[in-house]
Amino acid sequence: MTEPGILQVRHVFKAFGGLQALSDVSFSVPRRGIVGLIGPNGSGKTTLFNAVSGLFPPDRGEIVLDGRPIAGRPAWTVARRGLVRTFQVIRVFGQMTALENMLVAAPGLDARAEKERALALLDRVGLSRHAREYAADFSYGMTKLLEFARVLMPGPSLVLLDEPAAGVNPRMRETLWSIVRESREAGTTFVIIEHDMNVMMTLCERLTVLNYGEVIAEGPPEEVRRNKDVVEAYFGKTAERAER
Amino acid sequence: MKESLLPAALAVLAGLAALLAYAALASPYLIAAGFTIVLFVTLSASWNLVSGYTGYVSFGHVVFFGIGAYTASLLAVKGGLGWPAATLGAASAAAVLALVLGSITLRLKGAYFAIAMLGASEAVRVAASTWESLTGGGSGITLPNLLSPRGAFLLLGITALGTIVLTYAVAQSRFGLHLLAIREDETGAEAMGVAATRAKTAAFVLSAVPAGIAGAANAWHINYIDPESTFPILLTIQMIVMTMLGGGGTVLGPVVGALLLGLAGEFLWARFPFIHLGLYGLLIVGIVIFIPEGLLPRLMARGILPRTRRL
Ligand SMILES: Nc1ncnc2c1ncn2[C@@H]1O[C@H](COP(=O)(O)OP(=O)(O)O)[C@@H](O)[C@H]1O
Ligand SMILES: [Mg+2]
Repeated sequence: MTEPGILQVRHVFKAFGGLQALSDVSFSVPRRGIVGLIGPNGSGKTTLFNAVSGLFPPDRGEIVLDGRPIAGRPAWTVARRGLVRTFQVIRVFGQMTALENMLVAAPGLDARAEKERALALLDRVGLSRHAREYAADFSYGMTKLLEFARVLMPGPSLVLLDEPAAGVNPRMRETLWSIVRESREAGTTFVIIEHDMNVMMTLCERLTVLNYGEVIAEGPPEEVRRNKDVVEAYFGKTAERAER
Repeated sequence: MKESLLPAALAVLAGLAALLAYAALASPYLIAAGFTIVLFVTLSASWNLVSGYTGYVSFGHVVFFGIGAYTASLLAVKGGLGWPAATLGAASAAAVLALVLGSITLRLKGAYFAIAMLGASEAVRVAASTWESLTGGGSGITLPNLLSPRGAFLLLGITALGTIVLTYAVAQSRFGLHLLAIREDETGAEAMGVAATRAKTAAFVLSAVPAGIAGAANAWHINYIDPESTFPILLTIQMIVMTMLGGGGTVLGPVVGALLLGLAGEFLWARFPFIHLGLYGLLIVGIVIFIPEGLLPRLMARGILPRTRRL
């Protein structure tokens, strides 16, 4: 792949007080790919999403989306340039209906087209019957699905998903991953944080592994899985024991 | 959505007819009482446009009322303008002030914004009383009689109606949805591409205009303004209480709150001027404890009213 990726992260640093949450992180995301971001809890995955999506600026480093620098730009500018994300801690608007939640993220088409698009996406995640119900009345799993549908609403070019399947029932999880695959076929790029390695192995073309805020491995899933540092950091003692 | 505009249009026409009839028929006493009511409706509906929908509680909204009153009075007295042009001037001055204040204060988070607005309104009040060469300082400005009490009532009544219509339009729009998203989770809204500061500032400017016109109408009504009666903190408190009572972030909540409080004030506790403020205090506590979301949202949640952004 010689064509430059849709996203480049170069030498990004982020500290919270004395804690170095991201330390010289570089990685790039190929266009129309599905990239996995893995690593133990607290390794900096969410922080990386936050810095990339403009929630806060990185302390240092470059972030380039579609050839344009975005480090330090506010989140709404980044979103309007086609990069949107979901949150590990869900952030739907409880005092709005599912449909209204979708429309907040609408790309600015004519009203009817937007509504149709919103209803189609809600239908895709199995929420069409609940389109006019308030998100505050949804179960946790339904809220996750709503947030997932909403992130696709603006027709983004790059989507960051922070543990989208957590709390979603197994059947809907399958649906969720198949929507990711379909959207990728339609031209959307994904970066996914997800702990289920079986899912990540089959879904992602590439994996990037973080540990203590540093990238310790990157490459095709098979390769990454065999990487010793990764086995030690991510699969931890159980994996070592299993190998013995 | 088109077909359902009819009930709203009919309601507006009915409101207009009621205002005209009232202005034509009511006794001078009732005109004065009615003026207070439409003043309350305008002010609480204007406060609601920014604070009800975005959740950014302005403790200084009276500054737009005050700047409207002073601009209108000065344009009339020193500029020799008639009431229509002077009223337009008041609306513009309020809008410009909101743009300037908003682009500074709306970057602050909730509580800091509230305090900053309180500070801003007090600062403008002090400026009005110290800049004697322009404003006459503490002795105020006496106005020629440009508009009859009935005229002032009608002007403000139509402004009140216009503010409600404006709120209705905002509530149905994408812009309104963005404001509500900001109220719930500003960071989340921004992550979805909502330009929060811009949207808040726009709402702020929209909300300042009716308040500015109200300041002008009030000046036409009493033919006299001074800093103390033009920038009273009590008026901001009343806007907050009325909106909270009826329900912020709804079209009719602030109207309901203003009618309830306006009528109660007019006919019940106007006799006890000294405990007035205390009663507001108690009312705030009562609302926060018993109906924190306001009457209309409560009735909607109970299924007594339809849960819609149109009400
Ligand atoms: N806003 C913040 N303030 C302070 N510390 C934070 C903040 N966000 C994350 N951290 C810390 O940074 C580290 C990385 O966290 P995070 O990126 O959430 O990890 P992951 O998503 O990989 O589990 C953790 O030690 C976490 O406690
Ligand atoms: Mg995380």
